[in-house]
Amino acid sequence: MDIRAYSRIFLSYLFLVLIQVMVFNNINIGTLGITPLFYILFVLMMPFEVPIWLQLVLAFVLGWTVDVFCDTPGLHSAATVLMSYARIKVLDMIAPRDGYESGTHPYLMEMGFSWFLRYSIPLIFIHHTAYFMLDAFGFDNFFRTILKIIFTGFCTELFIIFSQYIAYRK
Amino acid sequence: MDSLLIFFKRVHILLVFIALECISLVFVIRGDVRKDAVFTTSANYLTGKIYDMTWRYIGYFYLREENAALLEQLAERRGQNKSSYVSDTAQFHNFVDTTAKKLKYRYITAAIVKNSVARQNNFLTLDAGREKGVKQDMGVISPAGVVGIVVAVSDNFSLAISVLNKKIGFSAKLKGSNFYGSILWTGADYKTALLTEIPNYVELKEGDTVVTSGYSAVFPEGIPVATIKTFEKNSEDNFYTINVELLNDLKCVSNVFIIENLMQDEQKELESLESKFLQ
Repeated sequence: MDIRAYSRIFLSYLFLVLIQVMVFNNINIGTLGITPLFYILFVLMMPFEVPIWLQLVLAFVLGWTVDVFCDTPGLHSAATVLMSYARIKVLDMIAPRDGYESGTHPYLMEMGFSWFLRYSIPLIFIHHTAYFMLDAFGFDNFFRTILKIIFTGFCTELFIIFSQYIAYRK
Repeated sequence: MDSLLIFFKRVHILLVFIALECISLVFVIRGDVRKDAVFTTSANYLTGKIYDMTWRYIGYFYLREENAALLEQLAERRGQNKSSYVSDTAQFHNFVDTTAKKLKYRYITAAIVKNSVARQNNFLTLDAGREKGVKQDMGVISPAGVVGIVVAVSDNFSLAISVLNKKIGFSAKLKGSNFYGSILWTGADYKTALLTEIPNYVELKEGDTVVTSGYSAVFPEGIPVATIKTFEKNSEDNFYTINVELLNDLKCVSNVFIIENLMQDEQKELESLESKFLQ
């Protein structure tokens, strides 16, 4: 990991926070009020070589920044840190037979479509479940919360796959 | 010592994870926005500026609804103009003498620069702050009805708790009669809320208007809030369960008035004596 890789991480952090609060937070679909949580792309695209403790800290910083913008102290940070931790396990579970080669990235174009789905769907689901359950903070409107998790997750996944074809080519 | 180091090396990731989750959860559990929270919320300078910039473009999408609402209010005001009245000699002495009245409410205009309806506890950021005279506990209304209450203020922005927030309710009454209750949001649909504490001997009709009661020292009396959608009598207690439809479409409201109650401190001070007589 050189300084260029880290500055790339920093730039993607700035870009994702801005696009989340300036564009995606203004999207509000239907009576469920679905707002795609696109910023978690940051966690998904984190290079394998970054030390894991640093991955967790960066996820926390990202979540906290979004929290400040959304007036949700702790909500996004808790969900994002959990997702970042779960990523280690998910990556282990779906690792290729010989492990990940050095120099590869968790990009759709590099790892293939089906690998990317097995990678992103559980993580998005974990993040959204944590976020909406903490937001509801109890079991009021339980069915509605479940619907929100599913539909918001679907929207987020769509945008994330879309981003792979635009920005994360080899 | 060595074994301790090895142990620490093995679990340090788990420790970092637990520490970060604890910090986050403490903030989640401690609840939402408090008085001193300007720096951890979107009412601070940097986030406020960014939202302001966004709003300059997003704002255009709401102009149509906004214009319609403003025109409606203009028409209403025009109806109250002096020129709208002719002198009625038989009742000439009944004129309203404004010089003998005392000003109680003042209005500050502001735009919403950040809004949400998707969460269970929603907040708004407004582009008017301390420098424009905004203070905590001021009411926020739009031409269509009640929007929220200011909870934190910075120099140029303020943060308001939205009507769509499970943590607040406010006092409201049926228009025409003086039966009052509380408007509470259930956290589900952003257009519907509950009206509680209306005794079940009151006659209700679907479509009846609910207005603010003026008891809380935040909103003036008579600001429209909602219309009654469905109601049924409770079997357990003597109150109705009333579903109301909020008049404000909080998803596309953008310009608001912040209401300053010039007698709020006086009323609150007096009401704080209440506890003294309860002992």
